[in-house]
Amino acid sequence: MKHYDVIVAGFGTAGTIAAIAAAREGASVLVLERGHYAGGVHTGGGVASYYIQRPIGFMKELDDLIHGKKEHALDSLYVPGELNKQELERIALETGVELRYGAAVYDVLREGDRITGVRFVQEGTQEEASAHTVIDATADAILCQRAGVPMESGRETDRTSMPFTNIMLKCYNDISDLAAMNFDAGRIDQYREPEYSKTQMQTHLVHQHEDWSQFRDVIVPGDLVGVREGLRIIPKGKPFTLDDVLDGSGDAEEPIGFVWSNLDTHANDMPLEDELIQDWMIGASMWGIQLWFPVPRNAIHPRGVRGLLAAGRHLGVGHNLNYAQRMNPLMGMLGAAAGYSAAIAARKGVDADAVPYADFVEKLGLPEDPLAYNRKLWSIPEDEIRAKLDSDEPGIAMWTARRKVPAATLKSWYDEAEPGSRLRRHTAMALALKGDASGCGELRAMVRERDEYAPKHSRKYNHSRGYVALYFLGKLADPGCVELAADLLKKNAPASHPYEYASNAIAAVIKAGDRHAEMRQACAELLRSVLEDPAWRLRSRLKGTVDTMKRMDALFRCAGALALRRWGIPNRIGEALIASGPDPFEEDLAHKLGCI
Amino acid sequence: MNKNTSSFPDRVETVVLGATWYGCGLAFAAGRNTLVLERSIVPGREFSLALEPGSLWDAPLASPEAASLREEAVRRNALVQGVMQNAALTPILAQWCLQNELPIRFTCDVLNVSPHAVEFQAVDGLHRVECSRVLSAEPSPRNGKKYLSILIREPNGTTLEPGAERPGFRLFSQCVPDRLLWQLELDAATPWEKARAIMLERWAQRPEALKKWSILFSASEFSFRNDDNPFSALDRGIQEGGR
Ligand SMILES: Cc1cc2nc3c(=O)[nH]c(=O)nc-3n(C[C@H](O)[C@H](O)[C@H](O)COP(=O)(O)OP(=O)(O)OC[C@H]3O[C@@H](n4cnc5c(N)ncnc54)[C@H](O)[C@@H]3O)c2cc1C
Repeated sequence: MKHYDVIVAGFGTAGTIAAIAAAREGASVLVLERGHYAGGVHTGGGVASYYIQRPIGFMKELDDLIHGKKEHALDSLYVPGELNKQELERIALETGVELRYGAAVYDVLREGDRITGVRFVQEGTQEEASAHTVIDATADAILCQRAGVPMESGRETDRTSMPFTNIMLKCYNDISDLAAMNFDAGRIDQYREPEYSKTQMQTHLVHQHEDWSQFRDVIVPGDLVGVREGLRIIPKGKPFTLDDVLDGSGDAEEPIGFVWSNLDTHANDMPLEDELIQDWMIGASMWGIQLWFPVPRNAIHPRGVRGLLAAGRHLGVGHNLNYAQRMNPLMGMLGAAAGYSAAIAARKGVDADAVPYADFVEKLGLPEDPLAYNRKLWSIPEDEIRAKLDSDEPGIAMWTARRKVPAATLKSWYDEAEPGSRLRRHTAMALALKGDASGCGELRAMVRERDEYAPKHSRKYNHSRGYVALYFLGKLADPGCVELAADLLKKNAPASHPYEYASNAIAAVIKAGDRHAEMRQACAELLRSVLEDPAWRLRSRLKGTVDTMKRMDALFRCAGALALRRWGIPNRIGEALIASGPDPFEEDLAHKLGCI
Repeated sequence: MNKNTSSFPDRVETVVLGATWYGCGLAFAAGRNTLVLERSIVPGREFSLALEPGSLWDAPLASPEAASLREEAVRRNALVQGVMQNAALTPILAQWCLQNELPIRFTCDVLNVSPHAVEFQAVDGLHRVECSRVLSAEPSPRNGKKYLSILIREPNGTTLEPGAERPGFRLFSQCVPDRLLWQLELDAATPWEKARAIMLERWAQRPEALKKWSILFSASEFSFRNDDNPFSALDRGIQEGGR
């Protein structure tokens, strides 16, 4: 069996950088790539763009090189996939990396808790190779799974991940290259059979056209599944989470990357997301507010094993951080950190997590104190917070108030302001963000009025106050929310934002029932009257599409069924779900969660 | 081998390796008790992912299924005057596979094949399925050759003059005039990195008429030209699968 300093499984967005970084550091490197080219989703997968942030470190070097080579001007947040895959391959070969395409890893070799190599199959032949350090850059954490690394996926409520894109590559004439048509196709669980294959097959039909003469720029299907999220490793030590960024100091221990991003979720069922995300996205309409998100070193070190690193979208941070930390530039940073530390570990004969941070941090090219930006953002003085709450751009002020302004102060602003005024309504929302119910009266009024007002600070998704208030009443488990929800769900469905009202109404009733045992019967009756009706439908637009509506009722039926189970109330929601004709993902989810 | 019994059958009559057009035909004819293991995520990869331009589109087809899919491609303006729009192939075949409930499983890496069992890695782990027969629908080289298809484009929209001098460059029309497919013949043993190196070398020496053109995308699968076009591949599978 041949031995290497480093084996990199997966030559994708992160794996290419990991392999080249390790080889540059003098390591002998074997790459095993299931597909037939370099760069993964970022090149052949057509996701050629960098989300908001240009890459740093080695990925930047490469990016500069490609931009220099291209004859025509390019958008600086974009790198053409074909050229990128050629260059990555050329540089890897020149640096001495041994490349094996069509080679799928399927198992690890181990001695106790140390991973010593991999098993792979290439053209029907099974082989083994050993290494000082193995880097799992397969995105789906194939080797971490086989090594028994603890993992998690998806959000708290139903462990569901973001919607995916069934990728088709299109020629965009303005940038003169191929790129993925980036619209969502629903959800997929890339670890479950037969649902995975059924969903993949069904979603090929999103690209069906009656008259292809109208779509001549659509070129070829992507050969990688367009999933944004999957299993995440549980790292050694404490996982870094969004709470640490938004509620803690914001600092990460021994950072190996910094992402300049917003929380770019594709989830179109916000009321099922974790509360902090809902507070940020719905409560404060903060989609598009950009921050620096640090990534600690432990995000690439899987718990419970030695000799194995994880570089890719399976990094070990909380689900909510994945909304910012799945982006291509960060994948390069993770790859570089994994590659450098693995190479140094082999040279020194130590585990990669024992390599002193100082030995490789300089090579990563990290920006100088980027977190100063975040600190400044949250440093608005109290009088300015009040002024901002009385403006059309209250988001940052609401969020700052959540941590910094005492409830009593907010309460005094609330009391001083006229009922129905901007200051009073935004202060009621700021109070609710703190978990304070003093503004419930105003919140209820907003729901009753179906208050259409939306702030203006979000780049794309500013939410109308009517359903935002409903969200807050649910968060506060306000007993009054059940009556309001019943009115919305059973009698007066609003013409505008019907999905947002209905989905937040269901979530609010669930929260009220969870909090108030004495209200459970009433909550259950309301939920059952809606969710047990197989004809009930809930639809929301899929991101990236103009008018493609996706049925969302199955996911909300599951949420209701789970609540009723917690409350010990028998129900027939599962039967209704099946009768309503779910897609393969939804049907499987309902089984997985025990709703059927 | 860890066997996950719930998501795959323990035993089937026929295992087809490869949901190629040919493999889909085999599976259709082989009947219900079949399992198709596909390495990629796309049915019919030997044409779509290989960017294979195809030929002889009017050749007679024996099976009504293949004939009706070809008609559908024409009706949808995907096959126009002997030029097939590659991207259209996937949804057309996917719909047919769904209609016929073909049991295709994607992202499967075959580890071991014996006459009556197949071991493989699927997305949910390692499996072994027993069977009466294994049919391979993986494309394979003929005459020791394979092909890399490369989509090229004239960024300014200028089309190639008819009869322009291009020795050694096998070019195929696309549905729009400012894009062409260039197909590179290779020895069957050529590995991917070598194939791309040859591509770049040849491209650097391209004839004058192609000087303004640029490479848009090189295929992620080699083409083996085992069949003239997807419909004849499906047709062949349907003829052979029942045997
Ligand atoms: C539809 C979509 C749109 C996106 N949009 C953006 C955007 O606009 N901007 C942005 O910055 N980011 C975007 N992202 C996120 C970003 O592109 C991905 O998170 C990133 O590419 C993931 O990198 P990776 O290295 O983890 O995975 P990949 O690039 O997928 O690499 C994984 C590699 O591992 C290989 N592999 C898998 N299994 C095996 C195996 N068993 N053996 C050997 N090799 C294996 C695969 O073939 C692949 O080459 C988007 C993602 C998607 C899906």
